Amino acid sequence: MIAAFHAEVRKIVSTRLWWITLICVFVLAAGYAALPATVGVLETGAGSTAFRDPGTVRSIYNGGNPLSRTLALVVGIMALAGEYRHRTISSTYLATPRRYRLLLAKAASLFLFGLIYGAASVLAGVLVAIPYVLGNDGSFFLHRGDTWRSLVLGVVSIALWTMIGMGLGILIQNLVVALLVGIGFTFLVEPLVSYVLFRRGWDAALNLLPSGATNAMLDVTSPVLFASAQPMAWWGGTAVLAAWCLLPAVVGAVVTVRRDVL
Amino acid sequence: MAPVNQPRRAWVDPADAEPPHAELPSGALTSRSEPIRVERLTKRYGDVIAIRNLSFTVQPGRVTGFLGPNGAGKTTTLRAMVGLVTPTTGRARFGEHAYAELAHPQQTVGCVLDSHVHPARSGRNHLRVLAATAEADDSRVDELLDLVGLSEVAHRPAGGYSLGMRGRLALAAALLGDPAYLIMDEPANGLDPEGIRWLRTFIRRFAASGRTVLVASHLLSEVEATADDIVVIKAGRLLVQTQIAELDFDVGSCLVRVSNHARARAALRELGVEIELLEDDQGDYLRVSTSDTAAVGTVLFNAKLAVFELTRERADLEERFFQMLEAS
Repeated sequence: MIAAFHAEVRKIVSTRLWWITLICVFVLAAGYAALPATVGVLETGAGSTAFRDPGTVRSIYNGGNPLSRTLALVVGIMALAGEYRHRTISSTYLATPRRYRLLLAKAASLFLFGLIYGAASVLAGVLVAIPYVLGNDGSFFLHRGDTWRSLVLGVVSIALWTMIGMGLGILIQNLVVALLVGIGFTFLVEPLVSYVLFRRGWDAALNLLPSGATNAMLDVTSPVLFASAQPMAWWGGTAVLAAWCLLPAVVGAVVTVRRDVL
Repeated sequence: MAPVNQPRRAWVDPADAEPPHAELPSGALTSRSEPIRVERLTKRYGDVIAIRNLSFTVQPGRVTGFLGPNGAGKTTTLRAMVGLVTPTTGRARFGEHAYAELAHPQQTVGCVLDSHVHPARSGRNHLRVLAATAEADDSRVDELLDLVGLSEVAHRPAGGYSLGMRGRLALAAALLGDPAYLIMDEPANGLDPEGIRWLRTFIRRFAASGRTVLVASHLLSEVEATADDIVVIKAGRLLVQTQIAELDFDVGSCLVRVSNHARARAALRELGVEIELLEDDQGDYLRVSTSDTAAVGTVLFNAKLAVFELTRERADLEERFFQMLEAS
């Protein structure tokens, strides 16, 4: 089990994908974090009071989350579907013939790298927040427990999105289809569904979407996110997002993992 | 991406390079004397039966050739033996255990079933990934890269490797755990003649150290030169399992090339044999319907004929193989 985990870590670090993704996460997260910060400045002009609102500051810290989690999703999808694509799955299963054990090792290694991507995303948000907060007489709110919880769960949420991707890759072994489904869902289907639910005020349904669950974890509310007016508690959001990881993974594990490899 | 250049120094002589197997894990020594037993293996895909009730044994210390025409079920059988394909019924055991039950699969069975690599991963890193579960260290990886002659290209992305280079990488990967069993599916694919000669020597030495080798091949001449035993299947069924030494290669005729074929014909009539005058690229010759070259030689000597060639004609394995297929 430890050896299989070690092999999976070597797999990840032996191609360029992981650090190219890491750089993308950091740069894009910084750009996305600057958005709510700039909006905060524009809304109230000079001497903005936005940076004295803990919710706004949290949303800057986690501003990169929507983009970072999509990249994390892609990395997760590549983990298993990529092995089918490049047909390396034979040697992988020969090395670890107990397939569920292999999936656990893969999930553990991906979760670790998901945490690294999450840390890069949150770090970028925090770095972006510094000039805005200092320049507008705001606060970092580091004395508040909910700020720290939002930072930590921001990192964890990205790791969970990596798991959702891995589950998708288990369920849909065709890499291209899995990527289309994953990216199509996060960029197209989910925003549309969120918009409809948001307009109708169906908060309970909104809370159950992966984005709604993530927002609850981060404890951010922003009109541009079509966020629920009555979000769940952080632990409820974490549980819902974890369920989104398990859903495709369990279905895939039952339906596809035992298939013959030719 | 264009294939990267072949390394100048390819294929270390197996005689020099044999000690990658010098240190055998003590646990593996006991399994080394155990054969592979394929037991009543059946694989059904819907209405199609790929393998039917197939049983055979692969003995240690010997090379077993696994033969059959395309679509006979060789690849399915090999993959079912190691759990990549789940058999409908039956199983294969390496010593006592099925592949998935082995505590250390890579240290027990080396598999060269295909040569797929992630194109962005270097050959060395491909081996390092598999080395983690085979419990092989980096020096073992480098040793094997050297053995198969890939040291110079080991740091390049494997996407640029030629088919032959990927085949050699697959062999190195199979050997990482210093296994007691080696099963190979068409390992000569893409290899140059030098590589095929190297592989043949390697396989012979591997088996000579008491280990067990099963090689599926459609290159019958290759198997004839390497194998001790053959298992022949057709349409998923066992046709024959036999030792190559037991195959009767004598076809009951010999080839005679002499200075005067008309006089030879007359002289040989006393043996009561049938004689045909034939021609090949070296000219005329006689085919005499006996494999007793001593009797033929004596008659020709007594007739004072100069003998240029006198050979017992032998069926090659290829011919035997097709006879088996036709008889079934």
